[in-house]
Amino acid sequence: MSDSRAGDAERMRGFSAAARLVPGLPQLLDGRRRTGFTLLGLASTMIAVLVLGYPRVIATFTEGRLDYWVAFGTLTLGLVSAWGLSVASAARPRRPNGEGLSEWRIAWREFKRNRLAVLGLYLMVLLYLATLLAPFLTPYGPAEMGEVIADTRHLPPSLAHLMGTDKFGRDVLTRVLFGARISLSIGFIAVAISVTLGTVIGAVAGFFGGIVDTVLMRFVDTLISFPRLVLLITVIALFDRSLLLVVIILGLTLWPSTARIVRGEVLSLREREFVQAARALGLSSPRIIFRHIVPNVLGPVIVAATLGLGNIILIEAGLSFLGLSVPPPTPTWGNMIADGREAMVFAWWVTTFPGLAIVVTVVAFNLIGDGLRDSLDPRLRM
Amino acid sequence: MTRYIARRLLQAIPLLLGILTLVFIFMHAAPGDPTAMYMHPSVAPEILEQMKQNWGLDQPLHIQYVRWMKSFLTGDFGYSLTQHRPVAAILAERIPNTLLLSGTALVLIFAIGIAVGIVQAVRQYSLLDNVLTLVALFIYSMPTFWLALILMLIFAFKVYQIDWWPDFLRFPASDMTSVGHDAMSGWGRFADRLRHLTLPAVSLGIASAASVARYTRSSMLEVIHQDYIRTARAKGLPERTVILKHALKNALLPIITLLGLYLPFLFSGAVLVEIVFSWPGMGRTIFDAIMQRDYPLVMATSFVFATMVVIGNLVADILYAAVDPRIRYE
Amino acid sequence: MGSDVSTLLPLVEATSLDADINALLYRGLNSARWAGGRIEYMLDDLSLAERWEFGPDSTTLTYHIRPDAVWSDGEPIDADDVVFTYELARQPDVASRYYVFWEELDSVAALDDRRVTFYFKRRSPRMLLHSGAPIIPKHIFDSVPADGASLAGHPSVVHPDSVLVVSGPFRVATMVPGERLVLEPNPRTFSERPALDRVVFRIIPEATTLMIEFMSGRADVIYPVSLTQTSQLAEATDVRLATTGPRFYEFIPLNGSAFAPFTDSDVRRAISYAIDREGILAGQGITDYASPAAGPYPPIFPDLADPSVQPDAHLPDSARAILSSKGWRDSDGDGVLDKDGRPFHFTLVTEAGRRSDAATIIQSQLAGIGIDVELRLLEHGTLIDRVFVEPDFQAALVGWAVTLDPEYLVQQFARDAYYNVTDYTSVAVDSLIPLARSAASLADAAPYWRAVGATVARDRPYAFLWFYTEVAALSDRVRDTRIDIYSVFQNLHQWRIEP
Repeated sequence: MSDSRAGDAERMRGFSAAARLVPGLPQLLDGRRRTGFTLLGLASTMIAVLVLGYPRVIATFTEGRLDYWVAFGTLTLGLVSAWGLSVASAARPRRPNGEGLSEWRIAWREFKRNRLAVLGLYLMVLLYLATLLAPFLTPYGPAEMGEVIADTRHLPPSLAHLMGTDKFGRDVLTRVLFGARISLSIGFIAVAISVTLGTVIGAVAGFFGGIVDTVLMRFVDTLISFPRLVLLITVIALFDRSLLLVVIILGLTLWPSTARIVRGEVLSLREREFVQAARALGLSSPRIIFRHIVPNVLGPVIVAATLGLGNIILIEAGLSFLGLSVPPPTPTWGNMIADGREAMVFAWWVTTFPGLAIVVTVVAFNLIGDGLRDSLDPRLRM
Repeated sequence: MTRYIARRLLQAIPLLLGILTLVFIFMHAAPGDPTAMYMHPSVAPEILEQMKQNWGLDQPLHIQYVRWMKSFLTGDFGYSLTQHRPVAAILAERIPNTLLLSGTALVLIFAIGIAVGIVQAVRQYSLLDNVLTLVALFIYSMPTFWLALILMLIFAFKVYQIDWWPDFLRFPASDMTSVGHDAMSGWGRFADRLRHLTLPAVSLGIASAASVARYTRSSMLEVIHQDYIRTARAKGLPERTVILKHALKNALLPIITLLGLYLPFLFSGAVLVEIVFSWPGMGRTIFDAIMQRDYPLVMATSFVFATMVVIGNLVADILYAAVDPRIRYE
Repeated sequence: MGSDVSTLLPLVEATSLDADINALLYRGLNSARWAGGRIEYMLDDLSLAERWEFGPDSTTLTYHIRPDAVWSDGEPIDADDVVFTYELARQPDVASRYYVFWEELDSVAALDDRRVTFYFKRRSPRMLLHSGAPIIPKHIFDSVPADGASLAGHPSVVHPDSVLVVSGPFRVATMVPGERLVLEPNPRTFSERPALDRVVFRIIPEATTLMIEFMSGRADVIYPVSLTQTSQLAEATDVRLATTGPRFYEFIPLNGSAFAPFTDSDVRRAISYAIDREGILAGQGITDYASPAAGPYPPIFPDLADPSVQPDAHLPDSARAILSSKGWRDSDGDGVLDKDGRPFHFTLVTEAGRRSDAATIIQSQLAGIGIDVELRLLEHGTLIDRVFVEPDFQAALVGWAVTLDPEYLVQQFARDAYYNVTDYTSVAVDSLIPLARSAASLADAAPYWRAVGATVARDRPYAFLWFYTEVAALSDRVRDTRIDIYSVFQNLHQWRIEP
């Protein structure tokens, strides 16, 4: 009797030692299912990529190209971190809810409670993994055309081409994966520019009012009223067309909308008690703006920024439609749809998959933004 | 208030002149000129030179600018170099078309957007909220021209191959009216216009409606959690009154600023939608004008766009003051 | 249709579409028609003249205007209208494309109401062409100043609904710019009355939309059809595709002054060999509508195209060998040829659309023999500026419409010609051109033009790519059409719609 109990315990110890080696299992056994499945999922994805893309992973060492090394690094990092996080979090005792939590931790807890937001986060991580691992995920190159184009063009989705081929016999899946890099990078730069400028200028205008407000807002009005198409076409025509250029121009033309939102918020905030109090205390204006006002308008700004992230990807698609975006063969989701649109009636897959990629990305950003907004703003916590 | 409006309008004048000057500089800095469409080895280069001379494009830039500004200030927009008719005639034809399209889209945006947003806020985190959020997001996340093409493919093409599909849900893919429009009865004409308007207006408006819904939801949630709403509830007012009367009014405040923001957005979206549905509006006009370097037409269309935006902003600000008594305009 | 008619006044028309539509509204003294390989001038039901006669030394040409010729407002069409039209075309301020007709013309004079004589400076094969410009009514346009803007801005041209004064089989019922142009029979036409009661030209810029309108039966004809959509239309029943013949050609000028290796004609030949023309056309599924080009004259001109000059075959190995003999080798093993430490790298500019598709494939084919091509897409106006107005490019994928008049080579390949963007010079070409121009007839000039074309083809200032045809898709209901390289709508007045 006691022997068998001791044996059970022994087995349990052996099992948990073994379990510790499988990422996510300790958490699963512990009842933390989400963490467990996430880590398990991450690790198995990485292993699947390693197994299925084995020849290309090996090619890293012979090809020596940067994107292969990046992919290789991602793969290694993914495996190591899945395992490492699993071990680390298994070793850490569970913290009872609501005890000694920092403001950020509360926000994170709130965020986790919002299922859609978490879904968005997963989608985003997945997208970035796919982007980074792109060379291992597909046997084709993004600009690689079919051997005989006439025989390989517009092939419907099949095992060899999961998303079919386009008009040059290029693999659509490959182009969607590689297109993600461009499309994802676009959003960040432009949004970083527009949010920073927009918040500062909007807050300053709203806070000071009067002549400062008038001047700044007239400037904002000018930019908003300026036909962006004129600006884009000129800049693209004058300078050699490059993605960075388009992104910067977008960033510089989009900030006024953020500024207006921020100003609108600040206009009502500055009449509120805490700002009046800060003023009465004689605090300096920059201090009031950055310590008391800006944190209170972060919610709308974050919403604007997440919407902005997706927006830029959408604008890029629109520019592609007008034939004003990145030159081929570089794929962006936008120019893939624009290029495939003449085939829409008979080859739906050429436009549908990049279109869905855009939708998924923009949805993911928005879900995350919403989640952040709900969790960061104390007023919204239930 | 009247003084405020007058002052804003006065302030808009230098703003518009500034924008026009910038557009002028930008357009002339861009390579290319309007003779490109005539270029061909069978057309003598002297003819091209002569055209430039006729159009005054051989003059130094500052002289061209002064000349244009002079005629503009006297209310003359000049002649279109590509359409060979007065720019004013083109504007008179195109502006109503664009206003019809974007006005319809604007109504769709706010009607659908606010309604959906309220429902979502009231039922925060419910299944309905989540489903609506996802559907709205999905639509919002589609590139306008792709959405337009898909709608067209389905409602102007595929449904014609489905026998049982009701006729009134089959739509034309292009133009503002049918070929036989003039022969129709009054009611028939209206229905015909409406049918032609449906797909473009939906394509143009639905994405923004989704984003209005998002803003409305956020804004409503913020308001709902504030003390005075709790007080109103505590007083035992019916939920409907609390939401529609007390919460909505305050929640609409940031939404109304969107009105001003959506105008330029609608116009740039209109370029794509007007091209896809061959809607003869301002968006297509400015795009073609820029592409063909039809300078007088570009200047005039830019002026119209900028004016509409300025007016949109002004309207937004006035509405802003109307709903929020805390904001004072001196 | 994809784009709008830019003006309803032939004197100031810009595009070939303008010319096609205006020819339905305004007629000239003679008529032209494509007759198996060359353009033929004649008098037919649609010509304003009923007879022409050459003067004794063949430098004058007299036309007799038919007595029943009237404008749509009832005024007779007389010799003064002809003189008026030609005098306007001569004015620089009008900037008419018919200005070039005066190159060999000396004067035009009315003998009486119905007889008009053209006096030429010298005998020329183009006398019939130069006397065939569409005539406009003097009594309408002599009240406006003689400049392009005033003429094109005449109220009856801007608002033509039922008031535009025309001479052709059709008149304008309504015009809604950007949306549609409706033609109806001209009740006073002197030719046979059109079979159709109404012809609606709709302007739809987006090719997908065009297609959907056609396939759903809301349009009977698409012109022009985007070539990439032809394969799909070919499968549809009740549709026929009519081709105009090779109306356009595309090429890559290789600009030696911006990229030195291109000054060597062997290097240009190597580039040309590396391009698989058949493969590219097959890849786009348009082999029925485009064919590889050997030089600037399409094979449908039997007098002008030299049969011994064939399009370059796809010979990547020869291309590599040629380049290697010129010192271009891949010495650093990066897959790109180099010489004196400099890689074979150049920039190819073109515009979005089918051209960028072709350029994309060419880029990958040149990569196959170790040439690194950077592709840059420019917006149309910028491309024209960079290539033709102020040449600033290394290589460009561009094209021209083929004109039925063989002279259009002159502006492209003669020394210092405006459109000679690669500064191509050839002694042979420069000496042949004057001979061709002074020949007695088109037939006599042909051998010279053929020699010019062949010389250019062998020197390859451009990598000649292909000729392509314009395609019109017609529903089977539409009958009795005559579509060839001359025009799609040339006999629109005879078209019928089956019920």
